[in-house]
Amino acid sequence: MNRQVFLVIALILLCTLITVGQPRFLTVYNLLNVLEQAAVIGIVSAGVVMLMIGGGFDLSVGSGVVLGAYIVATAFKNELPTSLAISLALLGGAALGVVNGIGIAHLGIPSLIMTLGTLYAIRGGVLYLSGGETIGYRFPDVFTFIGKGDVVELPMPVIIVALVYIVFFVIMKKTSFGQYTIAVGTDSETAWRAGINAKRHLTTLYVISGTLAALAGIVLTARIDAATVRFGENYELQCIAAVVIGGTSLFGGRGTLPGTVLGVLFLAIVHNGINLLGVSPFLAVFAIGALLLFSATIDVAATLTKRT
Amino acid sequence: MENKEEASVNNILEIRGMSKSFGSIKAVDNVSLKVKTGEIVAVVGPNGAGKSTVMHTLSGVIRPDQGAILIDDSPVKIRGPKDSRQLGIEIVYQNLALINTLSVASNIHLGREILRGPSFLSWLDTDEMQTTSRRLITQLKLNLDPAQPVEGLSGGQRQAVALARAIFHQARFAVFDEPTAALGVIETRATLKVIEDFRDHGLGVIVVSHNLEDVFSITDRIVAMRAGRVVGERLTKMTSPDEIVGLMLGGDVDGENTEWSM
Repeated sequence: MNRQVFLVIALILLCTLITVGQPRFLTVYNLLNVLEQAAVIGIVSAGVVMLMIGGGFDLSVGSGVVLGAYIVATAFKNELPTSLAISLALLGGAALGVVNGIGIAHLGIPSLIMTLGTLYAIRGGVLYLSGGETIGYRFPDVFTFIGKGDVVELPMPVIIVALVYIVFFVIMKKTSFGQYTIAVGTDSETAWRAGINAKRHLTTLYVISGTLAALAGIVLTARIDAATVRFGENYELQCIAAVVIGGTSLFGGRGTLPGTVLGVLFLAIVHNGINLLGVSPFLAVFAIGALLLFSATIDVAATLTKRT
Repeated sequence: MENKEEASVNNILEIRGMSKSFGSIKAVDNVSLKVKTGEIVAVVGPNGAGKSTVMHTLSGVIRPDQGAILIDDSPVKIRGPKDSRQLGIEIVYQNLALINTLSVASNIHLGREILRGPSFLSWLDTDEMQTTSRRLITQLKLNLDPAQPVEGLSGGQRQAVALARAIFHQARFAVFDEPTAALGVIETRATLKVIEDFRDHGLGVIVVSHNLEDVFSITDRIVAMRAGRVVGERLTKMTSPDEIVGLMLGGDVDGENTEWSM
Protein backbone atom coordinates (compact mmCIF):
# COMPACT_ATOMS: atom_id res chain seq x y z
CA MET A 1 0.00 0.00 0.00
CA ASN A 2 1.12 3.53 -0.73
CA ARG A 3 2.81 4.98 2.34
CA GLN A 4 0.95 8.28 2.21
CA VAL A 5 -2.46 6.58 2.03
CA PHE A 6 -1.43 4.42 4.96
CA LEU A 7 -0.38 7.50 6.95
CA VAL A 8 -3.62 9.34 6.21
CA ILE A 9 -5.64 6.34 7.40
CA ALA A 10 -3.45 6.06 10.51
CA LEU A 11 -3.92 9.78 11.19
CA ILE A 12 -7.71 9.52 10.86
CA LEU A 13 -7.74 6.54 13.23
CA LEU A 14 -5.54 8.37 15.70
CA CYS A 15 -7.72 11.50 15.60
CA THR A 16 -10.89 9.41 16.06
CA LEU A 17 -9.40 7.61 19.06
CA ILE A 18 -8.34 10.86 20.73
CA THR A 19 -11.70 12.53 20.02
CA VAL A 20 -13.56 9.62 21.60
CA GLY A 21 -11.45 10.00 24.75
CA GLN A 22 -11.48 13.79 24.77
CA PRO A 23 -13.94 15.62 22.46
CA ARG A 24 -12.01 18.87 23.05
CA PHE A 25 -9.43 17.55 20.56
CA LEU A 26 -11.70 18.31 17.64
CA THR A 27 -12.04 22.06 18.19
CA VAL A 28 -10.68 24.72 15.87
CA TYR A 29 -8.73 26.16 18.80
CA ASN A 30 -6.99 22.88 19.58
CA LEU A 31 -6.33 21.95 15.96
CA LEU A 32 -4.75 25.34 15.28
CA ASN A 33 -2.68 24.79 18.39
CA VAL A 34 -1.50 21.42 17.00
CA LEU A 35 -0.60 23.07 13.69
CA GLU A 36 1.31 25.82 15.44
CA GLN A 37 3.23 23.28 17.52
CA ALA A 38 3.99 21.32 14.38
CA ALA A 39 5.04 24.38 12.36
CA VAL A 40 8.52 24.88 13.83
CA ILE A 41 9.48 21.20 13.61
CA GLY A 42 7.89 21.23 10.15
CA ILE A 43 10.16 24.01 8.89
CA VAL A 44 13.26 22.14 10.07
CA SER A 45 11.96 18.84 8.68
CA ALA A 46 11.60 20.34 5.19
CA GLY A 47 15.37 20.85 5.10
CA VAL A 48 16.01 17.44 6.61
CA VAL A 49 13.84 15.63 4.03
CA MET A 50 15.48 17.43 1.08
CA LEU A 51 18.85 16.44 2.49
CA MET A 52 17.86 12.84 3.12
CA ILE A 53 16.45 12.45 -0.42
CA GLY A 54 19.86 13.71 -1.54
CA GLY A 55 21.61 11.03 0.52
CA GLY A 56 22.69 13.27 3.41
CA PHE A 57 22.02 13.21 7.11
CA ASP A 58 22.01 16.13 9.54
CA LEU A 59 22.11 15.87 13.33
CA SER A 60 23.09 19.52 13.72
CA VAL A 61 19.72 21.10 12.87
CA GLY A 62 18.87 21.65 16.56
CA SER A 63 22.01 23.74 16.85
CA GLY A 64 21.02 25.58 13.69
CA VAL A 65 17.78 26.54 15.45
CA VAL A 66 19.51 27.91 18.55
CA LEU A 67 22.15 29.61 16.39
CA GLY A 68 19.51 31.40 14.30
CA ALA A 69 17.63 32.43 17.45
CA TYR A 70 20.69 33.89 19.19
CA ILE A 71 21.94 35.71 16.10
CA VAL A 72 18.58 37.37 15.49
CA ALA A 73 18.09 38.28 19.18
CA THR A 74 21.64 39.63 19.52
CA ALA A 75 21.24 41.64 16.32
CA PHE A 76 18.06 43.28 17.65
CA LYS A 77 19.74 43.99 20.96
CA ASN A 78 22.41 45.84 19.03
CA GLU A 79 19.63 47.79 17.32
CA LEU A 80 20.16 46.47 13.83
CA PRO A 81 17.16 46.83 11.51
CA THR A 82 14.75 43.87 11.26
CA SER A 83 15.68 42.87 7.71
CA LEU A 84 19.39 42.79 8.55
CA ALA A 85 18.82 40.87 11.80
CA ILE A 86 16.84 38.20 9.96
CA SER A 87 19.32 38.02 7.08
CA LEU A 88 22.25 37.59 9.47
CA ALA A 89 20.47 34.75 11.29
CA LEU A 90 19.69 32.98 8.01
CA LEU A 91 23.29 33.46 6.88
CA GLY A 92 24.45 31.91 10.16
CA GLY A 93 22.36 28.81 9.42
CA ALA A 94 23.68 28.75 5.85
CA ALA A 95 27.25 28.96 7.15
CA LEU A 96 26.62 25.95 9.38
CA GLY A 97 25.44 24.13 6.25
CA VAL A 98 28.56 25.15 4.32
CA VAL A 99 30.78 23.76 7.10
CA ASN A 100 28.79 20.49 7.18
CA GLY A 101 28.83 20.25 3.39
CA ILE A 102 32.56 20.84 3.04
CA GLY A 103 33.35 18.33 5.77
CA ILE A 104 31.04 15.65 4.40
CA ALA A 105 30.95 16.09 0.62
CA HIS A 106 34.47 17.40 0.04
CA LEU A 107 36.60 15.98 2.87
CA GLY A 108 34.67 12.72 3.18
CA ILE A 109 33.94 12.85 6.91
CA PRO A 110 30.97 10.54 7.66
CA SER A 111 27.82 12.67 7.96
CA LEU A 112 26.89 11.20 11.34
CA ILE A 113 30.21 12.26 12.88
CA MET A 114 30.48 15.60 11.11
CA THR A 115 27.02 16.80 12.10
CA LEU A 116 27.34 15.34 15.60
CA GLY A 117 30.47 17.48 15.87
CA THR A 118 28.74 20.65 14.67
CA LEU A 119 25.72 19.82 16.87
CA TYR A 120 27.93 19.94 19.96
CA ALA A 121 30.28 22.68 18.79
CA ILE A 122 27.57 25.16 17.80
CA ARG A 123 25.39 24.58 20.85
CA GLY A 124 28.49 24.74 23.05
CA GLY A 125 29.58 27.95 21.35
CA VAL A 126 26.16 29.57 21.83
CA LEU A 127 26.10 28.47 25.49
CA TYR A 128 29.57 29.88 26.09
CA LEU A 129 29.01 33.21 24.35
CA SER A 130 25.62 33.78 26.00
CA GLY A 131 26.66 32.39 29.37
CA GLY A 132 23.54 30.27 29.08
CA GLU A 133 21.41 33.43 29.48
CA THR A 134 18.10 33.90 27.75
CA ILE A 135 18.10 36.98 25.53
CA GLY A 136 14.81 38.76 26.01
CA TYR A 137 14.16 42.01 24.23
CA ARG A 138 11.33 44.29 23.25
CA PHE A 139 11.37 43.19 19.63
CA PRO A 140 9.62 45.39 17.06
CA ASP A 141 6.05 44.35 16.26
CA VAL A 142 6.89 43.66 12.65
CA PHE A 143 9.28 40.95 13.87
CA THR A 144 7.07 39.35 16.53
CA PHE A 145 4.30 39.18 13.93
CA ILE A 146 6.32 36.36 12.33
CA GLY A 147 5.78 34.25 15.45
CA LYS A 148 2.54 35.56 16.91
CA GLY A 149 0.56 37.18 14.13
CA ASP A 150 -2.48 35.79 12.38
CA VAL A 151 -3.56 36.17 8.80
CA VAL A 152 -7.23 35.29 8.31
CA GLU A 153 -7.27 33.22 11.52
CA LEU A 154 -4.15 31.31 10.49
CA PRO A 155 -1.07 31.69 12.70
CA MET A 156 1.96 33.07 10.84
CA PRO A 157 4.21 30.05 11.64
CA VAL A 158 1.64 27.83 9.90
CA ILE A 159 1.64 30.11 6.86
CA ILE A 160 5.44 30.12 6.80
CA VAL A 161 5.71 26.35 7.01
CA ALA A 162 3.07 25.97 4.28
CA LEU A 163 5.02 28.32 2.00
CA VAL A 164 8.27 26.43 2.70
CA TYR A 165 6.67 23.13 1.72
CA ILE A 166 5.02 24.55 -1.41
CA VAL A 167 8.30 26.08 -2.59
CA PHE A 168 10.32 22.90 -2.03
CA PHE A 169 7.57 20.70 -3.45
CA VAL A 170 7.70 22.70 -6.68
CA ILE A 171 11.51 22.60 -6.67
CA MET A 172 11.48 18.80 -6.32
CA LYS A 173 8.84 18.25 -9.01
CA LYS A 174 9.62 20.94 -11.52
CA THR A 175 13.32 21.80 -11.56
CA SER A 176 16.65 20.23 -12.46
CA PHE A 177 17.61 20.81 -8.83
CA GLY A 178 14.93 18.32 -7.79
CA GLN A 179 16.07 15.76 -10.37
CA TYR A 180 19.69 16.15 -9.29
CA THR A 181 18.73 15.74 -5.64
CA ILE A 182 17.11 12.38 -6.40
CA ALA A 183 20.01 11.38 -8.67
CA VAL A 184 22.72 12.29 -6.14
CA GLY A 185 20.79 10.57 -3.34
CA THR A 186 20.27 7.40 -5.37
CA ASP A 187 23.83 7.06 -6.63
CA SER A 188 26.20 9.95 -6.22
CA GLU A 189 28.94 8.37 -8.38
CA THR A 190 26.56 7.78 -11.28
CA ALA A 191 25.14 11.28 -10.94
CA TRP A 192 28.66 12.64 -11.17
CA ARG A 193 29.27 10.58 -14.30
CA ALA A 194 26.15 12.13 -15.80
CA GLY A 195 27.85 15.51 -15.42
CA ILE A 196 26.23 16.61 -12.16
CA ASN A 197 28.49 18.30 -9.62
CA ALA A 198 27.46 15.87 -6.88
CA LYS A 199 29.66 17.29 -4.11
CA ARG A 200 28.48 20.82 -4.65
CA HIS A 201 24.89 19.63 -4.83
CA LEU A 202 25.15 17.81 -1.51
CA THR A 203 26.75 20.89 0.05
CA THR A 204 23.85 23.01 -1.20
CA LEU A 205 21.42 20.59 0.47
CA TYR A 206 23.27 21.01 3.80
CA VAL A 207 23.04 24.78 3.32
CA ILE A 208 19.27 24.50 2.78
CA SER A 209 18.97 22.35 5.89
CA GLY A 210 21.01 24.81 8.01
CA THR A 211 19.15 27.85 6.67
CA LEU A 212 15.72 26.35 7.37
CA ALA A 213 16.86 25.42 10.90
CA ALA A 214 17.87 29.06 11.46
CA LEU A 215 14.47 30.17 10.07
CA ALA A 216 12.79 27.94 12.65
CA GLY A 217 14.93 29.62 15.34
CA ILE A 218 13.78 33.04 14.12
CA VAL A 219 10.12 31.99 14.26
CA LEU A 220 10.54 30.59 17.79
CA THR A 221 12.23 33.78 18.98
CA ALA A 222 9.48 35.92 17.47
CA ARG A 223 6.84 33.76 19.12
CA ILE A 224 8.10 33.95 22.70
CA ASP A 225 9.93 37.31 22.55
CA ALA A 226 13.20 35.71 23.57
CA ALA A 227 15.96 33.35 22.55
CA THR A 228 16.78 30.61 25.05
CA VAL A 229 19.49 27.96 25.00
CA ARG A 230 16.83 25.25 25.20
CA PHE A 231 15.68 26.05 21.64
CA GLY A 232 16.06 23.19 19.22
CA GLU A 233 16.97 20.54 21.76
CA ASN A 234 16.22 17.06 20.39
CA TYR A 235 14.95 18.57 17.15
CA GLU A 236 17.33 16.46 15.08
CA LEU A 237 15.75 13.26 16.32
CA GLN A 238 12.17 14.49 16.06
CA CYS A 239 12.77 15.71 12.51
CA ILE A 240 14.45 12.52 11.37
CA ALA A 241 11.61 10.54 13.01
CA ALA A 242 9.00 12.64 11.18
CA VAL A 243 10.83 12.32 7.86
CA VAL A 244 11.27 8.54 8.14
CA ILE A 245 7.69 7.99 9.33
CA GLY A 246 6.70 10.06 6.28
CA GLY A 247 8.20 7.39 4.03
CA THR A 248 11.59 8.85 3.13
CA SER A 249 14.27 6.23 2.63
CA LEU A 250 17.27 6.06 4.94
CA PHE A 251 19.32 5.11 1.90
CA GLY A 252 18.61 8.27 -0.09
CA GLY A 253 16.94 8.86 -3.44
CA ARG A 254 13.39 8.28 -2.27
CA GLY A 255 11.16 10.52 -0.25
CA THR A 256 8.46 13.13 -0.48
CA LEU A 257 7.58 16.46 1.08
CA PRO A 258 3.85 15.58 1.47
CA GLY A 259 4.89 12.41 3.33
CA THR A 260 7.00 14.52 5.66
CA VAL A 261 4.05 16.84 6.34
CA LEU A 262 2.06 13.76 7.38
CA GLY A 263 4.94 12.52 9.53
CA VAL A 264 5.25 15.89 11.30
CA LEU A 265 1.47 16.03 11.86
CA PHE A 266 1.51 12.50 13.20
CA LEU A 267 4.11 13.32 15.85
CA ALA A 268 2.34 16.56 16.82
CA ILE A 269 -1.03 14.80 17.16
CA VAL A 270 0.46 12.00 19.25
CA HIS A 271 1.91 14.61 21.63
CA ASN A 272 -1.30 16.61 21.70
CA GLY A 273 -3.49 13.55 22.23
CA ILE A 274 -1.40 12.32 25.10
CA ASN A 275 -1.62 15.75 26.76
CA LEU A 276 -5.38 15.91 26.30
CA LEU A 277 -6.03 12.36 27.45
CA GLY A 278 -3.79 12.76 30.49
CA VAL A 279 -1.85 9.65 29.54
CA SER A 280 1.76 9.43 30.70
CA PRO A 281 3.97 11.44 28.33
CA PHE A 282 6.46 8.58 28.53
CA LEU A 283 3.97 6.61 26.50
CA ALA A 284 4.26 9.21 23.72
CA VAL A 285 8.00 8.70 23.62
CA PHE A 286 7.43 4.96 23.40
CA ALA A 287 4.77 5.32 20.68
CA ILE A 288 7.03 7.48 18.52
CA GLY A 289 9.90 5.04 18.93
CA ALA A 290 7.72 2.10 17.96
CA LEU A 291 6.36 3.92 14.91
CA LEU A 292 9.85 4.91 13.82
CA LEU A 293 11.07 1.32 14.06
CA PHE A 294 8.04 0.19 12.08
CA SER A 295 8.72 2.75 9.33
CA ALA A 296 12.42 1.91 9.17
CA THR A 297 11.59 -1.80 8.88
CA ILE A 298 9.26 -1.13 5.95
CA ASP A 299 11.97 0.95 4.28
CA VAL A 300 14.65 -1.72 4.70
CA ALA A 301 12.29 -4.47 3.52
CA ALA A 302 11.30 -2.43 0.43
CA THR A 303 14.95 -1.74 -0.41
CA LEU A 304 15.87 -5.40 -0.05
CA THR A 305 13.14 -6.56 -2.42
CA LYS A 306 14.20 -3.96 -4.98
CA ARG A 307 17.83 -5.06 -4.86
CA THR A 308 17.14 -8.68 -5.63
CA MET B 1 18.76 9.84 -41.16
CA GLU B 2 20.82 12.29 -39.17
CA ASN B 3 23.07 9.70 -37.63
CA LYS B 4 23.91 8.01 -40.89
CA GLU B 5 25.05 11.36 -42.27
CA GLU B 6 27.24 11.90 -39.25
CA ALA B 7 28.79 8.53 -39.83
CA SER B 8 29.72 9.37 -43.38
CA VAL B 9 31.64 12.42 -42.12
CA ASN B 10 33.90 9.99 -40.25
CA ASN B 11 34.99 11.71 -37.08
CA ILE B 12 38.11 10.30 -35.49
CA LEU B 13 38.88 9.98 -31.78
CA GLU B 14 42.57 9.48 -31.17
CA ILE B 15 44.83 8.87 -28.20
CA ARG B 16 48.36 9.89 -29.09
CA GLY B 17 51.56 9.03 -27.23
CA MET B 18 49.86 8.67 -23.87
CA SER B 19 51.80 7.75 -20.70
CA LYS B 20 50.68 7.54 -17.10
CA SER B 21 52.55 6.43 -13.98
CA PHE B 22 51.22 5.63 -10.55
CA GLY B 23 54.15 6.16 -8.23
CA SER B 24 57.03 4.17 -9.70
CA ILE B 25 54.75 1.95 -11.81
CA LYS B 26 54.35 2.92 -15.42
CA ALA B 27 50.74 1.86 -16.06
CA VAL B 28 50.56 3.27 -19.58
CA ASP B 29 53.61 3.73 -21.75
CA ASN B 30 53.40 5.75 -24.96
CA VAL B 31 50.05 4.33 -26.09
CA SER B 32 48.40 5.49 -29.30
CA LEU B 33 45.11 4.31 -30.72
CA LYS B 34 42.29 5.56 -32.90
CA VAL B 35 38.63 4.90 -33.52
CA LYS B 36 36.52 6.38 -36.27
CA THR B 37 32.75 6.71 -36.31
CA GLY B 38 30.96 3.61 -37.53
CA GLU B 39 33.50 1.04 -36.35
CA ILE B 40 34.06 -1.05 -33.24
CA VAL B 41 37.59 -1.30 -31.92
CA ALA B 42 38.48 -3.71 -29.15
CA VAL B 43 41.25 -3.04 -26.67
CA VAL B 44 42.37 -6.38 -25.26
CA GLY B 45 45.04 -7.44 -22.83
CA PRO B 46 45.61 -9.29 -19.57
CA ASN B 47 44.84 -7.69 -16.22
CA GLY B 48 47.19 -4.82 -15.52
CA ALA B 49 47.90 -4.21 -19.20
CA GLY B 50 46.74 -0.60 -18.80
CA LYS B 51 43.51 -0.86 -20.80
CA SER B 52 41.29 0.60 -18.12
CA THR B 53 43.74 3.39 -17.34
CA VAL B 54 43.62 4.49 -20.97
CA MET B 55 39.82 4.38 -20.97
CA HIS B 56 39.64 6.36 -17.73
CA THR B 57 41.50 9.20 -19.41
CA LEU B 58 38.58 9.45 -21.84
CA SER B 59 36.13 9.99 -18.98
CA GLY B 60 38.47 12.39 -17.19
CA VAL B 61 38.76 10.20 -14.11
CA ILE B 62 42.50 9.88 -14.78
CA ARG B 63 44.67 12.63 -16.27
CA PRO B 64 47.55 11.39 -18.38
CA ASP B 65 51.12 12.47 -17.57
CA GLN B 66 51.97 12.76 -21.22
CA GLY B 67 50.23 12.53 -24.54
CA ALA B 68 47.04 13.92 -25.91
CA ILE B 69 43.46 13.10 -26.78
CA LEU B 70 42.43 14.41 -30.18
CA ILE B 71 39.14 14.61 -32.02
CA ASP B 72 39.54 15.09 -35.76
CA ASP B 73 43.18 16.04 -35.17
CA SER B 74 42.43 18.84 -32.69
CA PRO B 75 43.63 18.25 -29.12
CA VAL B 76 40.84 18.29 -26.50
CA LYS B 77 40.93 18.60 -22.73
CA ILE B 78 38.94 16.16 -20.60
CA ARG B 79 38.83 17.12 -16.92
CA GLY B 80 35.72 15.19 -15.96
CA PRO B 81 32.65 13.32 -17.23
CA LYS B 82 30.99 16.61 -18.17
CA ASP B 83 33.80 17.43 -20.61
CA SER B 84 33.78 14.04 -22.30
CA ARG B 85 30.02 14.18 -22.71
CA GLN B 86 30.25 17.65 -24.25
CA LEU B 87 32.83 16.32 -26.69
CA GLY B 88 30.41 13.59 -27.73
CA ILE B 89 32.13 10.74 -25.93
CA GLU B 90 29.67 8.50 -24.09
CA ILE B 91 31.17 6.26 -21.44
CA VAL B 92 28.92 3.23 -20.93
CA TYR B 93 29.57 1.70 -17.53
CA GLN B 94 28.57 -1.81 -16.64
CA ASN B 95 25.74 -0.54 -14.40
CA LEU B 96 24.90 1.71 -17.39
CA ALA B 97 24.99 4.76 -15.08
CA LEU B 98 21.21 4.91 -14.81
CA ILE B 99 19.42 6.38 -11.81
CA ASN B 100 16.91 3.73 -10.72
CA THR B 101 14.54 6.10 -8.97
CA LEU B 102 14.09 8.33 -12.02
CA SER B 103 11.96 7.72 -15.11
CA VAL B 104 13.22 6.68 -18.53
CA ALA B 105 12.74 10.24 -19.83
CA SER B 106 14.54 11.75 -16.82
CA ASN B 107 17.46 9.38 -17.25
CA ILE B 108 17.80 10.18 -20.94
CA HIS B 109 17.85 13.89 -20.11
CA LEU B 110 19.80 13.77 -16.84
CA GLY B 111 22.34 16.58 -16.82
CA ARG B 112 20.78 18.04 -19.99
CA GLU B 113 17.23 18.73 -19.00
CA ILE B 114 14.96 20.62 -21.35
CA LEU B 115 14.01 23.78 -19.46
CA ARG B 116 11.55 26.59 -19.86
CA GLY B 117 11.54 30.07 -18.47
CA PRO B 118 14.41 32.48 -17.80
CA SER B 119 17.72 30.86 -16.87
CA PHE B 120 17.71 32.06 -13.24
CA LEU B 121 14.21 30.64 -12.70
CA SER B 122 13.75 27.81 -15.14
CA TRP B 123 11.57 24.80 -14.72
CA LEU B 124 11.52 21.36 -16.33
CA ASP B 125 9.61 21.02 -19.55
CA THR B 126 8.34 17.56 -18.67
CA ASP B 127 6.06 17.32 -21.72
CA GLU B 128 8.84 18.19 -24.13
CA MET B 129 11.18 15.66 -22.48
CA GLN B 130 8.52 12.97 -22.78
CA THR B 131 8.02 13.85 -26.44
CA THR B 132 11.75 13.83 -27.18
CA SER B 133 12.11 10.50 -25.41
CA ARG B 134 9.17 9.00 -27.26
CA ARG B 135 10.62 10.15 -30.59
CA LEU B 136 13.99 8.57 -29.75
CA ILE B 137 12.36 5.37 -28.60
CA THR B 138 10.40 5.14 -31.83
CA GLN B 139 13.47 5.96 -33.91
CA LEU B 140 15.40 3.18 -32.19
CA LYS B 141 12.42 0.81 -32.53
CA LEU B 142 12.34 0.19 -28.78
CA ASN B 143 9.44 -0.75 -26.61
CA LEU B 144 9.57 1.59 -23.63
CA ASP B 145 7.30 3.98 -21.77
CA PRO B 146 9.16 7.26 -21.13
CA ALA B 147 7.32 7.84 -17.84
CA GLN B 148 8.27 4.45 -16.41
CA PRO B 149 10.87 4.36 -13.62
CA VAL B 150 14.08 2.64 -14.70
CA GLU B 151 14.12 0.27 -11.72
CA GLY B 152 11.35 -1.92 -13.14
CA LEU B 153 13.14 -2.52 -16.45
CA SER B 154 14.88 -5.66 -17.69
CA GLY B 155 18.60 -5.67 -18.47
CA GLY B 156 17.96 -5.30 -22.19
CA GLN B 157 15.54 -2.41 -21.69
CA ARG B 158 18.08 -0.65 -19.47
CA GLN B 159 20.68 -0.92 -22.21
CA ALA B 160 18.14 0.48 -24.64
CA VAL B 161 17.76 3.51 -22.36
CA ALA B 162 21.54 3.94 -22.33
CA LEU B 163 21.56 3.83 -26.13
CA ALA B 164 18.71 6.35 -26.37
CA ARG B 165 20.59 8.63 -24.01
CA ALA B 166 23.77 8.44 -26.09
CA ILE B 167 21.81 9.29 -29.24
CA PHE B 168 20.10 12.15 -27.41
CA HIS B 169 23.49 13.51 -26.35
CA GLN B 170 24.54 13.32 -30.00
CA ALA B 171 27.45 11.18 -28.94
CA ARG B 172 29.90 10.34 -31.71
CA PHE B 173 31.93 7.86 -29.68
CA ALA B 174 31.09 5.30 -27.04
CA VAL B 175 33.42 3.51 -24.66
CA PHE B 176 32.44 0.21 -23.04
CA ASP B 177 34.61 -1.02 -20.17
CA GLU B 178 34.33 -4.81 -19.75
CA PRO B 179 30.67 -4.79 -20.83
CA THR B 180 30.13 -8.54 -20.59
CA ALA B 181 32.16 -9.40 -17.51
CA ALA B 182 29.92 -11.11 -14.95
CA LEU B 183 27.06 -11.55 -17.44
CA GLY B 184 25.30 -14.78 -18.35
CA VAL B 185 25.09 -16.13 -21.91
CA ILE B 186 21.79 -14.50 -22.81
CA GLU B 187 22.66 -11.12 -21.27
CA THR B 188 26.01 -11.22 -23.03
CA ARG B 189 24.34 -11.77 -26.39
CA ALA B 190 21.95 -8.86 -25.72
CA THR B 191 24.80 -6.60 -24.68
CA LEU B 192 26.83 -7.37 -27.78
CA LYS B 193 23.77 -6.58 -29.86
CA VAL B 194 23.48 -3.18 -28.14
CA ILE B 195 27.14 -2.45 -28.83
CA GLU B 196 26.50 -3.20 -32.51
CA ASP B 197 23.45 -0.92 -32.33
CA PHE B 198 25.70 1.91 -31.18
CA ARG B 199 27.89 1.36 -34.22
CA ASP B 200 24.92 1.00 -36.55
CA HIS B 201 23.69 4.38 -35.33
CA GLY B 202 26.96 5.82 -36.52
CA LEU B 203 29.02 5.92 -33.34
CA GLY B 204 32.66 4.96 -33.08
CA VAL B 205 32.90 2.35 -30.35
CA ILE B 206 35.82 1.29 -28.15
CA VAL B 207 35.28 -1.94 -26.21
CA VAL B 208 37.67 -2.88 -23.45
CA SER B 209 37.45 -6.59 -22.85
CA HIS B 210 39.42 -9.69 -22.15
CA ASN B 211 36.79 -11.99 -23.55
CA LEU B 212 38.17 -12.83 -26.99
CA GLU B 213 35.05 -14.68 -28.12
CA ASP B 214 32.98 -11.50 -27.64
CA VAL B 215 35.67 -9.41 -29.23
CA PHE B 216 35.84 -11.55 -32.35
CA SER B 217 32.07 -11.65 -32.76
CA ILE B 218 31.49 -7.89 -33.02
CA THR B 219 34.65 -5.85 -33.59
CA ASP B 220 36.24 -4.49 -36.74
CA ARG B 221 39.69 -4.03 -35.30
CA ILE B 222 41.62 -5.32 -32.28
CA VAL B 223 44.33 -3.48 -30.36
CA ALA B 224 46.34 -5.70 -28.02
CA MET B 225 48.03 -4.27 -24.93
CA ARG B 226 50.55 -5.74 -22.54
CA ALA B 227 52.37 -4.15 -19.60
CA GLY B 228 51.17 -0.67 -20.45
CA ARG B 229 52.09 -0.79 -24.14
CA VAL B 230 50.31 -1.44 -27.40
CA VAL B 231 51.87 -4.66 -28.68
CA GLY B 232 49.90 -5.13 -31.83
CA GLU B 233 46.92 -4.17 -33.90
CA ARG B 234 44.96 -6.35 -36.33
CA LEU B 235 41.85 -6.22 -38.44
CA THR B 236 39.48 -8.69 -36.82
CA LYS B 237 38.77 -10.57 -40.04
CA MET B 238 42.49 -10.90 -40.82
CA THR B 239 43.56 -12.42 -37.50
CA SER B 240 42.81 -15.33 -35.20
CA PRO B 241 42.28 -15.68 -31.46
CA ASP B 242 45.58 -17.58 -31.31
CA GLU B 243 47.49 -14.69 -32.80
CA ILE B 244 45.87 -12.19 -30.40
CA VAL B 245 46.59 -14.41 -27.39
CA GLY B 246 50.18 -14.63 -28.59
CA LEU B 247 50.39 -10.84 -28.68
CA MET B 248 48.79 -10.46 -25.25
CA LEU B 249 51.10 -12.96 -23.65
CA GLY B 250 54.21 -11.59 -25.28
CA GLY B 251 55.10 -13.18 -28.58
CA ASP B 252 56.25 -10.81 -31.30
CA VAL B 253 56.26 -7.29 -29.99
CA ASP B 254 55.50 -4.95 -32.85
CA GLY B 255 54.19 -2.09 -30.74
CA GLU B 256 56.72 0.32 -32.21
CA ASN B 257 55.50 0.09 -35.77
CA THR B 258 51.80 -0.30 -35.42
CA GLU B 259 49.95 -0.10 -38.70
CA TRP B 260 46.84 2.00 -38.77
CA SER B 261 44.28 0.10 -40.69
CA MET B 262 41.83 2.88 -41.21
